[in-house]
Amino acid sequence: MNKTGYIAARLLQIVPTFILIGLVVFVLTRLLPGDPVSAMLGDRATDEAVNRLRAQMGFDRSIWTQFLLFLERAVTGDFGSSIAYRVPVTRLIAERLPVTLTLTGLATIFALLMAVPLALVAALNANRWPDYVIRVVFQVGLSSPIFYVGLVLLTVLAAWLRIFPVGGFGETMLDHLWHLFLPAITLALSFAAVIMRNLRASLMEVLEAEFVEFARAKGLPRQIVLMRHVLRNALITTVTLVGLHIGALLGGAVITESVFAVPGVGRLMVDSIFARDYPVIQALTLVLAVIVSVVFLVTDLIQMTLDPRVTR
Amino acid sequence: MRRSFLKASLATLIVASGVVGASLAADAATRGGKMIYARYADSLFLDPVLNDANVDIWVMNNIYDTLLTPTADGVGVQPGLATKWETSDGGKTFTLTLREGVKFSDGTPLTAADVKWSLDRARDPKAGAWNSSLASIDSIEAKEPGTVVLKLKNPDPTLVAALATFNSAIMPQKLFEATPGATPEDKAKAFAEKPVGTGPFMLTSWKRGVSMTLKRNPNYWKAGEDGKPLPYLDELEFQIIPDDSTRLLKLKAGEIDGAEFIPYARVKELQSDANLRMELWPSTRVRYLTMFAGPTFKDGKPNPMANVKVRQAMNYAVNKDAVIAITTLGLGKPMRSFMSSTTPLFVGQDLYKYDPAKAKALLAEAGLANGFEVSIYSLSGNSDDQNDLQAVQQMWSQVGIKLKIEPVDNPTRTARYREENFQMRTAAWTNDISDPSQITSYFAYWPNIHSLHSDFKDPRIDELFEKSQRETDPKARAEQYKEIQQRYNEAAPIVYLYETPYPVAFRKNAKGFVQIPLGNNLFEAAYVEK
Amino acid sequence: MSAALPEDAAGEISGRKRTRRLRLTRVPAPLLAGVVVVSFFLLCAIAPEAIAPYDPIAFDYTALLSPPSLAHPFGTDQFGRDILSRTIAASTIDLQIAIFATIAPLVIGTLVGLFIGYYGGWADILFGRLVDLVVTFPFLVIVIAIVAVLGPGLFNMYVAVSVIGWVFYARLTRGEVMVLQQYDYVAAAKVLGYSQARILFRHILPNAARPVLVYWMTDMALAILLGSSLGYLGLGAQPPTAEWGVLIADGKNFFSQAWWITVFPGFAIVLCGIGFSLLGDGLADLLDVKR
Repeated sequence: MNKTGYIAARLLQIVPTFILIGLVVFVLTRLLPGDPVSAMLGDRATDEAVNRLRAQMGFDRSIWTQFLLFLERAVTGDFGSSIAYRVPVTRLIAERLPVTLTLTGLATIFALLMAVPLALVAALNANRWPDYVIRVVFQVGLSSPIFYVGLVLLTVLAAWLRIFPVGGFGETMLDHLWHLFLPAITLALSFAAVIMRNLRASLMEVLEAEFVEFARAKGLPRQIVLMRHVLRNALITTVTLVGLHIGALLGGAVITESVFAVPGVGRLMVDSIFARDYPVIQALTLVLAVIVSVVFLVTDLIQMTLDPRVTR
Repeated sequence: MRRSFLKASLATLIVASGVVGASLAADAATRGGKMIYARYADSLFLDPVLNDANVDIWVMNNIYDTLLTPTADGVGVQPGLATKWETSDGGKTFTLTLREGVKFSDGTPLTAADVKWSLDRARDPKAGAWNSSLASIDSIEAKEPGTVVLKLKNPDPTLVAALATFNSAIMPQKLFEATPGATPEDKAKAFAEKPVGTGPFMLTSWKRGVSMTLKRNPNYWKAGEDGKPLPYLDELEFQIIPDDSTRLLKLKAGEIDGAEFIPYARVKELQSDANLRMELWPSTRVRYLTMFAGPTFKDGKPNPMANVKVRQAMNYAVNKDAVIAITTLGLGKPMRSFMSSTTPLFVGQDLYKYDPAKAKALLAEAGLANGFEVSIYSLSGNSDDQNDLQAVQQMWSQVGIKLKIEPVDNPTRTARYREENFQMRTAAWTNDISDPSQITSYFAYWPNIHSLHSDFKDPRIDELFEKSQRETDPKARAEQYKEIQQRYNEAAPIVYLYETPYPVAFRKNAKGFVQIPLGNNLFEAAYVEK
Repeated sequence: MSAALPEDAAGEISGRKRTRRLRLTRVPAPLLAGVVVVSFFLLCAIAPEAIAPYDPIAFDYTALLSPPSLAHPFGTDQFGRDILSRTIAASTIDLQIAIFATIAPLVIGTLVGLFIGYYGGWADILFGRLVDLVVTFPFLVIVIAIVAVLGPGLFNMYVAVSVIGWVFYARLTRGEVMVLQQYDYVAAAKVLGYSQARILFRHILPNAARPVLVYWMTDMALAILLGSSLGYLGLGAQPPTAEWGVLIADGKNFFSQAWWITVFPGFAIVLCGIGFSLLGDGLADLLDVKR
């Protein structure tokens, strides 16, 4: 199958998935006990005030009317207004999305920077002490909960040693990266461990494989063998893993953003669930689904380019 | 009664001056600069009339002014946009004289018409959750320049306090009406994006859930100690940091100047930090457990707590001092009425001194010698709830009451409350108005919301409350409130816990912040020393 | 290191070949280490009161926030509760999480994967869509949403994790079954006219189960991480239940004064996670599963 055809087929497959997601999320949000009004008005509201607000928000209508209304608007790209903040959902998400994308992007880069060189060292020294040390360290990273690593890094590096800012997002682009350094490291740890582990395994396989021995026998310099064959295969593994892990990364971002007070969509999602802010939950789920789907597609395409054997 | 009231307010003042003495010291305030204050949650909707939550109410006074304002001790009122007010016609006419030369932050002058329009909007029974506070107003007359006359349906002892409350804030009529929007709600939404008021600051940028930036209103009417107009600050930034420990770490690292809602567990630590100043502002906040008091629960099962003896027993079996020690590390004090000791007309008494033997005896009298089981909704992830309930659970187990803790999230807890589908629930209350009528109407007066949806009903309290709402003789009104409080406290439809102050902390060089017992954050005289 | 590479690498390869031959006669070291660590936690989980020096929920007002000492090796918290005892008591809850959050997905997912992989058809196409749906949601976000619907607490967390988790087992099993069907012995069994049940459960399942078992170990480690994360967010185990995540959340406000409240339960999570991962690695080695 050629690439354009492949992309078209994939996009076609995505459409029913998205409709299904829309339905599932709509039903799920309506199943949440209580409603936005019960989240907004505290203990000191009269029944009158509660009913008025419910009517104003259209929650006195039947669930089917509400769903049809949601579908009708969603098709035109109108996701309505946040119930809690009373501003358009699209604006709210547009403010927050770049933060989360930067965070996860940065985390991916950090994970690669940590994992790739060390996986190479580990593979070349397989089953000797550098390998053991590297594997143990990454295993600790893999087994550490994000909130715990975040708390420790935040307290030690930011609050005690004052090397990094404690939290927030800063003002300028450079400032953003500076603020996101610790959160991104935190988020990167377990991902780096997964990459390291897989990369080490595939590097060892490649190192063992005959074509490397053959290439070496031909007298090619060692660096070229490594560059051409080893890293190329390593890259394929990594790209696959990024695709598989994007969901876990975004999920991890939820906790990272809470601990580091990073104003991204992960925090917005959790806040919105607790506030029963239906329109935000609905729109955000779709946006996250789009991101994940796009990442899947892109990683697939990269894989196809890197490795002609992959055909689907 | 009078004496204890005086004593209480005096004590409040002493506490207030003792704690914040440093910040009110006579050293000259620094002008200019920026203050960053971290809040646990963002505001939602900066409309005085249509808002719903403390996160709005507590900061709106920095943007809008009211005709009168609560005093710093929270029990009285003082001039705001009105310099003078008087009643006539047997309490049925209320005349206000407006301050001269007041301008909105956009430079347009404040008129009597703006006042009439704002109050008419606030008392519209179809708008907002708070209109009932102005329900006694029959009509409003604007006499330019500078006089506003309120004609009342009946004398209203709460009106003065109501005019000092956020929902009666004055907004510019022409500007509001010129705001785009098809319906009044749409206009309000658009207006609240860039609100214009007469307050010390104006909103310049707002990233929802992230940060809010306020700039100095150059037209603000109030003068500082140096005789020049307030506020001292050029800029005030609110950063939203929901995580308690992150908020504190930022404060300790000097990335922010102040932070609200310091966990009680960390107050001591901050008090001993040389770079910081811990401030504990007297509040109207009370922590209690609501119990359902009707004859049967929503599921039809009989309710043991319908019996007053059982309710009293539950109170006798709680050692409030121990709960205070565990949850607030000694920062709270036992509740002495259902309203806080900072509420006007509060009458305190020692309530239900810890006495497990008496509790057991009362339970036996109620035919529950073997105890009973009761479940309570708590807020999941809330450490105050966890600490309170773990302590109460242990204390009650000694008299045979088995407490089942059911953690839920806030909307769930509130929904169950509104449906009156609960046995018990954790709760806290702060007043919004410098008058006991609000808390009483919710806690004790059945017709409003069935006494915190507990279905507790005392016809005598209802009668007294209705009378007190029209009572113009302060002495008689105080008597009515004394009786209401005694009757309610005797009937014990809540489990009394404690009052707590508002814990906020600042860097040593950030001064002049005031939080009044109602919760309002005043930044007009705040400044940051270089 | 770099100069000696070719020889080293060659030596390494032959070394690996040697271990491969020895594999069946020697228990792999990671497996041994994993078994030791996990058994240790199992012991703590089964008989916490026998190991813990104190009652994990008893308040002691004479020893509030005391640092690690001989009497309290892990120190005490703000109520004077012994952190060592609480960490040990918490292992009961966390190992329960590891098992209960994964057992339903393991069983249901494996069976579903087995049937779908074997029979294919419409069920397989539907399953493909379902996998698309599940992998396009961040897992943690769905779990939080489901827990919010059902209410916070351990049981609801198991439900939430199981509702989604079985899909991963099913996907893994399905893939294995598809591969195994190509093998001669399955084809032979079909030719010999064995019943489908016999082919499925006697011939395919035992072989398909090996990678599933290995994945299960990793999944248990992940379940503990997830359980403690939800506990930390106030959605998992509810206090006073001691659970590692809850212990850390409890102690985080005291981090700068009393680091021991947070740090030791954190060690427990990390160590336990490593234990399960080693067990998984070891099993993979032993069963010759490629990961």
